Amino acid sequence: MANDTLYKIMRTTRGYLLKEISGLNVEQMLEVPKGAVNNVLWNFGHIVYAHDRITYGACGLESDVPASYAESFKGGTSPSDWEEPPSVDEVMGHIKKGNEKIYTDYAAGAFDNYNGFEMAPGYSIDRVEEAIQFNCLHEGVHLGIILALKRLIGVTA
Amino acid sequence: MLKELKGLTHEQMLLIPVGQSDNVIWNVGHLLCSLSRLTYGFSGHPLPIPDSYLGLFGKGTSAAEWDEPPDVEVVLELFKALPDEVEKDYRAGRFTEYKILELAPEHTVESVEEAVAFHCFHEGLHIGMIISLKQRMGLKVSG
Repeated sequence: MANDTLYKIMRTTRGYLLKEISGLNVEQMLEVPKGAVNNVLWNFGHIVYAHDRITYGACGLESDVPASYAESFKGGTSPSDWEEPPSVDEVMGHIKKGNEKIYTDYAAGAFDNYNGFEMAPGYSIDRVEEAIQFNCLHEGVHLGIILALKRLIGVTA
Repeated sequence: MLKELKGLTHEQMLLIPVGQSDNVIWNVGHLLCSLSRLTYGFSGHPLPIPDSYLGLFGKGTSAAEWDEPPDVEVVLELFKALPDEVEKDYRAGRFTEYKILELAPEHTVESVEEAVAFHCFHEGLHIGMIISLKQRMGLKVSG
């Protein structure tokens, strides 16, 4: 996929996500409504964690995403595992910062040594371009869950 | 998506939980309509879906308003087949003439490549909604 298309879809995806932050207070972001297994904050944190892991992480590069996010937000975890909720401001700061840095790092060749991995049986991610495209789908999944959570806690769009 | 649909009965696909207006098959049909429009529609071709589907699954529609539920098997078969058809027709050059689509004030889709990239995000969104529907029904989620 051409870089322009890739950058555009990254920015657009994150733009749709940012629209859904508005109108939520901290209490609502931490609420696990009846019928759900996680909360809005977990979904946002998971997005930050996953995006970092399959781009910077797969190239062995450091980033400013805290190492503790693996324990709080990786797949299979849930708010019920938290001793204390992670900082909402910190997580949302990462979401709002978006993907800007990745564009300059990509152009500088930071992701050239990408260590491919198997995302699921028969589906591997072998280049950062594939990771970025997959991430757009993944952010969509969690945006869908966030929209459903907002409806369950009575926050209208 | 197919992993999340696996094992669901027709009844489960048609169930609308209390307080909601959608069900699993509405989300699937909606994506079928969306991808059809994003590729065939905006390239000037007829949509490869029954005429009634935009009224059942298009933007702004609701499963709660159906007079009669659609045939679940037909929706699923069309949904599963469409990506391969799109790829075949893309490689045959059928989508080169593309009409610019404004999805939102800050989001225009200007080529079929951008449309397909957007569709992946859109499909993710509805996978998330289906995951939430399954959780509300107490069903196991593949994740």
